[in-house]
Amino acid sequence: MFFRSRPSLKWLCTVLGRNCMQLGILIILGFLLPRLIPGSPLSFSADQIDVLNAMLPKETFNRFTDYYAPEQPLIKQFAGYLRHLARGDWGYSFYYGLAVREIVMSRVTLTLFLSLTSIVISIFIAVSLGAYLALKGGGYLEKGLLTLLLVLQTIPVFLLAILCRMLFAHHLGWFPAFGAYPLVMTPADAGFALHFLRHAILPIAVLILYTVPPVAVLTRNVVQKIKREPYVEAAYYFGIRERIIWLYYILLNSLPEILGRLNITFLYAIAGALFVEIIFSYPGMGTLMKVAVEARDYPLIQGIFLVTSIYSIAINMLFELLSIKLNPRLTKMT
Amino acid sequence: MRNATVKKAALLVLLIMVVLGIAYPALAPFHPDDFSFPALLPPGGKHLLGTNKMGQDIFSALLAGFRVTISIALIVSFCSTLIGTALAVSCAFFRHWVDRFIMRVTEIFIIVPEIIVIMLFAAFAGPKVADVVMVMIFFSWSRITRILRGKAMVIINQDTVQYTLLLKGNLLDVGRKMWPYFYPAVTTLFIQQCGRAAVYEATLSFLGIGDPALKSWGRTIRAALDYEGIFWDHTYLWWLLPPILCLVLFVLALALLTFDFDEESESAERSE
Repeated sequence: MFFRSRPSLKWLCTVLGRNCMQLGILIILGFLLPRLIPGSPLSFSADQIDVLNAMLPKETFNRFTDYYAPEQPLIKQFAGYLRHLARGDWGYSFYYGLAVREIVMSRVTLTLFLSLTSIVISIFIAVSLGAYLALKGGGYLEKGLLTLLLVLQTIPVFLLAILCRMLFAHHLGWFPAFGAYPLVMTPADAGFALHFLRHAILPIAVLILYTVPPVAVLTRNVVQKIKREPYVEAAYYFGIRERIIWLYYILLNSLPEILGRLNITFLYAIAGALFVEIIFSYPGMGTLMKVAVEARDYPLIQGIFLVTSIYSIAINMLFELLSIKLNPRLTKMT
Repeated sequence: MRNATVKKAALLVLLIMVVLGIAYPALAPFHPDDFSFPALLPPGGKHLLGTNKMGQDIFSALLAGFRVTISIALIVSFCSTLIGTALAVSCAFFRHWVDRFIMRVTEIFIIVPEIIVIMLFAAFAGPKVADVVMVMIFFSWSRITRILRGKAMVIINQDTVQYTLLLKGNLLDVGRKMWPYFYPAVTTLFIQQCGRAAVYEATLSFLGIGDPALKSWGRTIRAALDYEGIFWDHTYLWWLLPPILCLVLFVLALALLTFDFDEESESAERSE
């Protein structure tokens, strides 16, 4: 037992180490790139900074120069940047004039709700759909489904959201078109939960439509490969019931490979959630991002970038750990 | 058989779109910037798709989109495929620390979804089209390098390539010898990258990043969404829907060109 658990602990450390390194590199990038890209307020020279001074209210401008200290040498700026991050101080938004952390934190829950709910539902739909296509494939229905998946896969997520909003919210009028709840209501009102769910159905459905196709196609390919493994054929010769073969011999053995390659898909699902929010004016990080980009609100954009990165890395790590749990053999590789 | 028919149809659609893009000044009934018409006309008569809020002809803007969107997609895709391929070949040629360094850099680009990073930097890069195109290229090559590196590592072991290495051929010679084995994968990635670039452009336009005067489909979509009444009267049918359909058709045709419907039979053959 001791012998078995040791390599997996070592692997756990490698996974953690790699993800921490990625986080570190992202933090360094978050510092360097805005200073290199022309046009960002941090790459302004002394005379350009006067323009910013004229553009922003006095108080906001002072906070900005206090926070970033653009007159100091780069090394000192970097030290200050790290110190701020460690303290959880992300600067002040130009547009709102509030601390970035407060603004972002007030929005992040709804984005987490949308993306996590849709990810969980998508896994179940996509894996069963993909397995069905691989195990029963060949008919017209399956070919049609596959083509439909392909079409869905090519449509950018915000267009998918617009189309769904057009059809289901405006044309058919089945669901509310925007917001997370009626503006006149507060969480204390009776029936709030019901309204909240009704508002969430359409955005979550769009996200599912967006996430399912790549995962289903992936599952189909993996299951198709496993289906031809010798041990599966052997199981057929032994006359084991087909349902048991499908479930225990094929599907269970496909899961590690599917999970191992899923993380990138779900990183895209996070970005997708931001765009879907914008279309449905859902008050999460996406709508915040739109405001920040339109107002060229640098500190706020950076805050959103950092939170999204941390969330992406967390999801990435979760999937890596899950696939180890499901397939201990992985620890022996790399 | 069926595969070939689908691909021919996709190619035909793309060809028509490119021709429309080239010939658009002759085909468009009005200049897309001409705002001398009554605003928000329904389709019919002089204006095939009506006019927008500014009194511009929507059909002309849609036609202009063929040229703008397709050329942005081609430029971004060509440059990022070129950079990505060159780096992948370098990985296989130099190996050791060059390979490791390039791989580390590409790994970073995977973690955060490309579009968010593109957006972050395009927001500041200034409103010029060239700037936005540069940012898109900068964040697109990594995917191509990642995929092609594995292929390059295998192809470099081909006899002809190994002879070139023995004769102390430089990176360029080796690249040229590798090309015959390389080009199917490169072409597929180039086509896929075209679709991605078109989608990125639309997404950035949708977020209001880039040149506001540009007549891409993404811009037309954004302008339509900016009109408050778009969903309340039936304007969306002729203002919002046509550019969406054009964009989806373009991306879908590109995807069909690279998608393999007969994958099942083909991989079955391979396993035997």
